[in-house]
Amino acid sequence: MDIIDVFYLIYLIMMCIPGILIMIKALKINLTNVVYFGLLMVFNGLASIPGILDLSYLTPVFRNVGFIFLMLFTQKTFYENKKSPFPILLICIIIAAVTTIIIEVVGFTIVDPAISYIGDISLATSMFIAFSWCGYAALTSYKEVKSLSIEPHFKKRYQFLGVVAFINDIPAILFVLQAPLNVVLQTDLLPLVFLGFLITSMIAVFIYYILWFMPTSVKNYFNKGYTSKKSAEEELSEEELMKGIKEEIDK
Amino acid sequence: MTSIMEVLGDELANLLSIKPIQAKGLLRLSIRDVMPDKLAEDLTLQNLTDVLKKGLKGRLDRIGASNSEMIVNKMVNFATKKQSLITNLKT
Repeated sequence: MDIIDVFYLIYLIMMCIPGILIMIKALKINLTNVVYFGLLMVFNGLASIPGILDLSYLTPVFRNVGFIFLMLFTQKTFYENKKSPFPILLICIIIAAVTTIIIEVVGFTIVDPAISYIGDISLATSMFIAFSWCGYAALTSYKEVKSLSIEPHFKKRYQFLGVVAFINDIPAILFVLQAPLNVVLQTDLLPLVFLGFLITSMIAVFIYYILWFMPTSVKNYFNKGYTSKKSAEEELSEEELMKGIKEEIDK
Repeated sequence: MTSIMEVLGDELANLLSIKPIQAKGLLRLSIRDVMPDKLAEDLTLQNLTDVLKKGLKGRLDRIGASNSEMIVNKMVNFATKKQSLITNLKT
Protein backbone atom coordinates (compact mmCIF):
# COMPACT_ATOMS: atom_id res chain seq x y z
CA MET A 1 0.00 0.00 0.00
CA ASP A 2 1.60 3.28 -1.10
CA ILE A 3 0.96 6.82 0.14
CA ILE A 4 -1.74 7.45 -2.48
CA ASP A 5 -3.62 4.31 -1.37
CA VAL A 6 -3.51 5.59 2.23
CA PHE A 7 -4.97 8.86 0.97
CA TYR A 8 -7.75 6.98 -0.83
CA LEU A 9 -8.57 4.97 2.29
CA ILE A 10 -8.70 8.04 4.56
CA TYR A 11 -10.83 9.83 2.00
CA LEU A 12 -13.23 6.87 1.69
CA ILE A 13 -13.89 6.72 5.44
CA MET A 14 -13.91 10.50 5.84
CA MET A 15 -16.62 10.99 3.19
CA CYS A 16 -18.79 7.89 3.59
CA ILE A 17 -19.41 7.89 7.36
CA PRO A 18 -20.66 11.51 7.64
CA GLY A 19 -22.48 11.09 4.31
CA ILE A 20 -24.40 8.07 5.62
CA LEU A 21 -25.18 9.82 8.93
CA ILE A 22 -26.52 12.86 7.04
CA MET A 23 -28.68 10.56 4.88
CA ILE A 24 -30.11 8.78 7.94
CA LYS A 25 -31.00 12.10 9.59
CA ALA A 26 -32.52 13.43 6.35
CA LEU A 27 -34.68 10.31 5.93
CA LYS A 28 -35.89 10.62 9.52
CA ILE A 29 -37.09 14.18 8.96
CA ASN A 30 -38.33 13.58 5.40
CA LEU A 31 -35.87 15.81 3.55
CA THR A 32 -35.11 14.11 0.23
CA ASN A 33 -32.94 17.02 -0.88
CA VAL A 34 -30.59 16.48 2.06
CA VAL A 35 -30.44 12.76 1.18
CA TYR A 36 -28.97 13.91 -2.16
CA PHE A 37 -26.35 15.86 -0.23
CA GLY A 38 -25.42 12.72 1.73
CA LEU A 39 -25.22 10.80 -1.55
CA LEU A 40 -22.76 13.40 -2.90
CA MET A 41 -20.46 12.59 0.01
CA VAL A 42 -20.95 8.83 -0.23
CA PHE A 43 -20.28 8.72 -3.98
CA ASN A 44 -17.22 10.94 -3.62
CA GLY A 45 -15.95 8.58 -0.94
CA LEU A 46 -16.71 5.51 -3.08
CA ALA A 47 -14.67 7.11 -5.87
CA SER A 48 -11.61 6.06 -3.84
CA ILE A 49 -12.32 2.34 -4.25
CA PRO A 50 -11.36 2.15 -7.96
CA GLY A 51 -8.17 4.04 -7.01
CA ILE A 52 -7.27 1.44 -4.38
CA LEU A 53 -8.09 -1.40 -6.78
CA ASP A 54 -6.00 0.11 -9.61
CA LEU A 55 -9.15 0.72 -11.63
CA SER A 56 -8.79 4.49 -11.45
CA TYR A 57 -10.47 4.98 -14.82
CA LEU A 58 -13.73 4.22 -12.95
CA THR A 59 -13.14 7.03 -10.43
CA PRO A 60 -14.77 9.75 -12.58
CA VAL A 61 -17.95 7.68 -12.83
CA PHE A 62 -18.44 7.78 -9.04
CA ARG A 63 -17.32 11.38 -8.73
CA ASN A 64 -19.62 12.63 -11.48
CA VAL A 65 -22.60 10.75 -10.07
CA GLY A 66 -21.81 12.53 -6.78
CA PHE A 67 -21.73 15.91 -8.53
CA ILE A 68 -25.11 15.19 -10.12
CA PHE A 69 -26.52 14.52 -6.64
CA LEU A 70 -25.09 17.84 -5.48
CA MET A 71 -26.86 19.55 -8.39
CA LEU A 72 -30.11 17.83 -7.40
CA PHE A 73 -29.62 19.06 -3.83
CA THR A 74 -29.11 22.63 -5.04
CA GLN A 75 -32.12 22.45 -7.37
CA LYS A 76 -34.47 20.92 -4.78
CA THR A 77 -33.33 23.17 -1.94
CA PHE A 78 -33.08 26.55 -3.63
CA TYR A 79 -34.75 26.50 -7.06
CA GLU A 80 -37.99 24.48 -6.94
CA ASN A 81 -40.74 26.28 -8.96
CA LYS A 82 -38.17 28.93 -9.81
CA LYS A 83 -36.19 29.81 -12.94
CA SER A 84 -33.02 27.77 -12.69
CA PRO A 85 -29.92 26.99 -14.74
CA PHE A 86 -30.24 23.33 -13.69
CA PRO A 87 -30.97 21.80 -17.16
CA ILE A 88 -28.07 23.67 -18.81
CA LEU A 89 -25.63 22.91 -15.99
CA LEU A 90 -26.74 19.27 -15.94
CA ILE A 91 -26.05 18.96 -19.68
CA CYS A 92 -22.60 20.56 -19.13
CA ILE A 93 -21.82 18.09 -16.33
CA ILE A 94 -23.02 15.11 -18.38
CA ILE A 95 -20.87 16.20 -21.36
CA ALA A 96 -17.86 16.73 -19.08
CA ALA A 97 -18.53 13.41 -17.33
CA VAL A 98 -18.82 11.42 -20.55
CA THR A 99 -15.67 13.14 -21.87
CA THR A 100 -13.78 12.28 -18.66
CA ILE A 101 -14.92 8.67 -18.73
CA ILE A 102 -14.01 8.19 -22.41
CA ILE A 103 -10.66 9.94 -21.92
CA GLU A 104 -9.88 7.95 -18.79
CA VAL A 105 -10.61 4.67 -20.55
CA VAL A 106 -8.58 5.70 -23.61
CA GLY A 107 -5.86 7.21 -21.42
CA PHE A 108 -5.76 4.01 -19.41
CA THR A 109 -5.23 2.02 -22.59
CA ILE A 110 -2.73 4.14 -24.49
CA VAL A 111 -1.27 6.08 -21.52
CA ASP A 112 -1.06 9.46 -23.25
CA PRO A 113 -0.49 12.29 -20.72
CA ALA A 114 -2.03 14.90 -23.04
CA ILE A 115 -5.28 12.92 -23.34
CA SER A 116 -5.31 12.24 -19.60
CA TYR A 117 -4.96 15.99 -19.01
CA ILE A 118 -8.13 16.64 -21.01
CA GLY A 119 -9.79 14.08 -18.73
CA ASP A 120 -8.54 15.96 -15.65
CA ILE A 121 -9.90 19.25 -17.04
CA SER A 122 -13.30 17.66 -17.73
CA LEU A 123 -13.53 16.23 -14.22
CA ALA A 124 -12.43 19.54 -12.71
CA THR A 125 -15.08 21.31 -14.80
CA SER A 126 -17.87 19.07 -13.42
CA MET A 127 -16.63 19.67 -9.90
CA PHE A 128 -16.35 23.40 -10.45
CA ILE A 129 -19.87 23.69 -11.92
CA ALA A 130 -21.56 21.61 -9.20
CA PHE A 131 -19.88 23.25 -6.21
CA SER A 132 -19.90 26.80 -7.56
CA TRP A 133 -23.62 26.65 -8.30
CA CYS A 134 -24.34 25.33 -4.81
CA GLY A 135 -22.15 28.08 -3.32
CA TYR A 136 -23.81 30.76 -5.40
CA ALA A 137 -27.31 29.49 -4.47
CA ALA A 138 -26.48 29.41 -0.74
CA LEU A 139 -24.98 32.90 -0.68
CA THR A 140 -27.83 34.35 -2.75
CA SER A 141 -30.36 32.77 -0.39
CA TYR A 142 -28.48 34.20 2.56
CA LYS A 143 -29.08 37.68 1.15
CA GLU A 144 -32.79 36.88 0.92
CA VAL A 145 -33.15 35.72 4.52
CA LYS A 146 -30.69 37.92 6.37
CA SER A 147 -33.32 40.53 7.23
CA LEU A 148 -35.77 37.93 8.61
CA SER A 149 -36.29 37.48 12.30
CA ILE A 150 -34.87 33.96 12.65
CA GLU A 151 -32.09 32.58 14.85
CA PRO A 152 -28.68 33.69 13.51
CA HIS A 153 -27.37 30.12 13.37
CA PHE A 154 -29.80 29.42 10.51
CA LYS A 155 -28.35 32.35 8.60
CA LYS A 156 -24.78 31.20 9.32
CA ARG A 157 -25.63 27.87 7.74
CA TYR A 158 -26.10 29.59 4.36
CA GLN A 159 -22.80 31.43 4.67
CA PHE A 160 -20.86 28.31 5.59
CA LEU A 161 -22.51 26.19 2.90
CA GLY A 162 -21.62 28.87 0.34
CA VAL A 163 -18.04 29.38 1.46
CA VAL A 164 -17.30 25.64 1.75
CA ALA A 165 -18.70 25.04 -1.73
CA PHE A 166 -16.18 27.52 -3.08
CA ILE A 167 -13.40 25.93 -0.98
CA ASN A 168 -14.20 22.71 -2.87
CA ASP A 169 -13.31 24.53 -6.08
CA ILE A 170 -9.67 24.74 -4.93
CA PRO A 171 -8.81 21.07 -5.67
CA ALA A 172 -10.50 21.42 -9.07
CA ILE A 173 -8.18 24.32 -9.87
CA LEU A 174 -5.14 22.43 -8.50
CA PHE A 175 -5.93 19.44 -10.72
CA VAL A 176 -6.04 21.65 -13.79
CA LEU A 177 -2.81 23.47 -12.89
CA GLN A 178 -0.69 20.52 -11.82
CA ALA A 179 0.00 19.00 -15.26
CA PRO A 180 1.37 22.19 -16.90
CA LEU A 181 3.27 23.04 -13.70
CA ASN A 182 4.84 19.56 -13.71
CA VAL A 183 6.23 20.30 -17.18
CA VAL A 184 7.44 23.80 -16.27
CA LEU A 185 8.96 22.83 -12.91
CA GLN A 186 10.19 19.42 -14.11
CA THR A 187 8.70 17.74 -11.07
CA ASP A 188 5.70 15.65 -10.01
CA LEU A 189 3.22 17.78 -8.07
CA LEU A 190 0.56 15.07 -7.91
CA PRO A 191 1.28 14.06 -4.27
CA LEU A 192 1.06 17.74 -3.30
CA VAL A 193 -2.20 18.11 -5.18
CA PHE A 194 -3.55 15.03 -3.39
CA LEU A 195 -2.48 16.55 -0.07
CA GLY A 196 -4.24 19.83 -0.94
CA PHE A 197 -7.30 17.82 -1.94
CA LEU A 198 -7.23 15.90 1.34
CA ILE A 199 -6.89 19.07 3.44
CA THR A 200 -9.69 20.98 1.67
CA SER A 201 -11.89 17.86 1.82
CA MET A 202 -11.25 17.49 5.57
CA ILE A 203 -12.22 21.13 6.16
CA ALA A 204 -15.32 20.70 3.97
CA VAL A 205 -16.47 17.46 5.62
CA PHE A 206 -15.95 18.89 9.11
CA ILE A 207 -18.02 21.98 8.29
CA TYR A 208 -20.70 19.97 6.48
CA TYR A 209 -21.06 17.74 9.51
CA ILE A 210 -21.37 20.74 11.84
CA LEU A 211 -23.93 22.29 9.47
CA TRP A 212 -26.28 19.31 9.51
CA PHE A 213 -25.60 18.24 13.11
CA MET A 214 -25.04 21.62 14.71
CA PRO A 215 -24.24 21.14 18.42
CA THR A 216 -26.20 23.26 20.88
CA SER A 217 -22.99 25.02 21.99
CA VAL A 218 -22.33 26.15 18.40
CA LYS A 219 -25.95 27.27 18.01
CA ASN A 220 -25.73 29.21 21.27
CA TYR A 221 -22.49 30.83 20.13
CA PHE A 222 -24.04 32.05 16.87
CA ASN A 223 -27.29 33.06 18.60
CA LYS A 224 -25.53 35.15 21.27
CA GLY A 225 -27.47 38.40 21.77
CA TYR A 226 -30.49 37.19 19.79
CA THR A 227 -33.84 37.42 21.53
CA SER A 228 -36.77 35.60 20.03
CA LYS A 229 -39.87 37.65 19.35
CA LYS A 230 -41.87 34.47 19.42
CA SER A 231 -44.91 34.60 21.68
CA ALA A 232 -47.00 31.69 22.82
CA GLU A 233 -49.92 30.87 20.59
CA GLU A 234 -53.17 32.01 22.11
CA GLU A 235 -55.73 29.35 22.83
CA LEU A 236 -58.52 30.73 20.65
CA SER A 237 -61.33 28.85 19.01
CA GLU A 238 -61.63 28.98 15.23
CA GLU A 239 -64.58 31.37 15.49
CA GLU A 240 -62.76 33.72 17.88
CA LEU A 241 -59.68 33.75 15.67
CA MET A 242 -61.58 34.42 12.43
CA LYS A 243 -63.69 37.10 14.18
CA GLY A 244 -60.56 38.76 15.57
CA ILE A 245 -58.87 38.84 12.16
CA LYS A 246 -62.02 40.21 10.50
CA GLU A 247 -62.18 42.99 13.08
CA GLU A 248 -58.51 43.87 12.52
CA ILE A 249 -58.94 43.90 8.73
CA ASP A 250 -62.13 46.00 8.92
CA LYS A 251 -60.46 48.63 11.12
CA MET B 1 -36.74 27.58 17.48
CA THR B 2 -38.25 29.45 14.54
CA SER B 3 -40.47 27.41 12.23
CA ILE B 4 -41.51 28.05 8.65
CA MET B 5 -45.01 28.89 9.94
CA GLU B 6 -43.60 31.77 11.96
CA VAL B 7 -41.72 33.19 8.99
CA LEU B 8 -44.82 32.92 6.79
CA GLY B 9 -47.00 34.20 9.64
CA ASP B 10 -44.86 37.33 10.01
CA GLU B 11 -45.16 38.04 6.29
CA LEU B 12 -48.92 37.45 6.25
CA ALA B 13 -49.31 39.67 9.32
CA ASN B 14 -47.52 42.47 7.45
CA LEU B 15 -49.66 42.04 4.36
CA LEU B 16 -52.96 41.95 6.27
CA SER B 17 -51.95 44.35 9.06
CA ILE B 18 -52.95 41.85 11.71
CA LYS B 19 -51.05 40.39 14.69
CA PRO B 20 -48.44 37.72 13.80
CA ILE B 21 -50.17 35.33 16.17
CA GLN B 22 -53.46 35.75 14.27
CA ALA B 23 -51.68 35.28 10.94
CA LYS B 24 -50.07 32.10 12.19
CA GLY B 25 -53.45 30.86 13.38
CA LEU B 26 -54.95 31.64 9.98
CA LEU B 27 -52.20 29.65 8.29
CA ARG B 28 -52.76 26.70 10.62
CA LEU B 29 -56.49 26.75 9.82
CA SER B 30 -55.63 26.89 6.10
CA ILE B 31 -53.43 23.82 6.47
CA ARG B 32 -56.21 22.03 8.32
CA ASP B 33 -58.62 22.87 5.49
CA VAL B 34 -56.40 21.52 2.72
CA MET B 35 -54.12 18.94 4.36
CA PRO B 36 -55.71 17.89 7.64
CA ASP B 37 -53.36 14.93 8.08
CA LYS B 38 -50.14 16.92 7.74
CA LEU B 39 -48.14 18.82 10.31
CA ALA B 40 -47.11 22.34 9.32
CA GLU B 41 -43.45 21.41 9.74
CA ASP B 42 -43.75 18.48 7.30
CA LEU B 43 -45.05 20.51 4.38
CA THR B 44 -43.03 20.68 1.17
CA LEU B 45 -42.96 23.79 -1.00
CA GLN B 46 -45.61 22.23 -3.24
CA ASN B 47 -47.83 21.49 -0.20
CA LEU B 48 -47.37 25.04 1.07
CA THR B 49 -48.26 26.48 -2.32
CA ASP B 50 -51.47 24.39 -2.36
CA VAL B 51 -52.31 25.48 1.19
CA LEU B 52 -51.85 29.15 0.29
CA LYS B 53 -53.72 28.97 -3.02
CA LYS B 54 -56.65 26.92 -1.76
CA GLY B 55 -56.82 27.12 2.03
CA LEU B 56 -55.66 30.68 2.67
CA LYS B 57 -57.61 32.00 -0.33
CA GLY B 58 -60.79 30.40 1.04
CA ARG B 59 -60.21 31.75 4.54
CA LEU B 60 -59.49 35.26 3.27
CA ASP B 61 -62.62 35.22 1.13
CA ARG B 62 -64.63 34.05 4.13
CA ILE B 63 -63.56 37.05 6.22
CA GLY B 64 -64.17 39.37 3.28
CA ALA B 65 -60.59 40.45 2.56
CA SER B 66 -60.92 42.51 -0.61
CA ASN B 67 -57.49 41.74 -2.08
CA SER B 68 -57.28 38.03 -1.30
CA GLU B 69 -55.93 37.08 -4.76
CA MET B 70 -53.06 39.56 -4.49
CA ILE B 71 -52.20 38.52 -0.93
CA VAL B 72 -52.16 34.85 -1.88
CA ASN B 73 -49.89 35.57 -4.87
CA LYS B 74 -47.54 37.59 -2.67
CA MET B 75 -47.42 34.78 -0.12
CA VAL B 76 -46.72 32.15 -2.81
CA ASN B 77 -43.90 34.33 -4.20
CA PHE B 78 -42.52 34.83 -0.71
CA ALA B 79 -42.57 31.09 0.05
CA THR B 80 -40.95 30.28 -3.30
CA LYS B 81 -38.21 32.87 -2.80
CA LYS B 82 -37.43 31.68 0.72
CA GLN B 83 -37.94 27.97 -0.01
CA SER B 84 -34.54 26.96 1.36
CA LEU B 85 -35.87 27.83 4.83
CA ILE B 86 -38.09 24.74 4.63
CA THR B 87 -34.90 22.66 4.77
CA ASN B 88 -32.88 25.00 6.94
CA LEU B 89 -35.42 25.51 9.74
CA LYS B 90 -36.04 21.78 9.96
CA THR B 91 -32.43 20.70 10.58
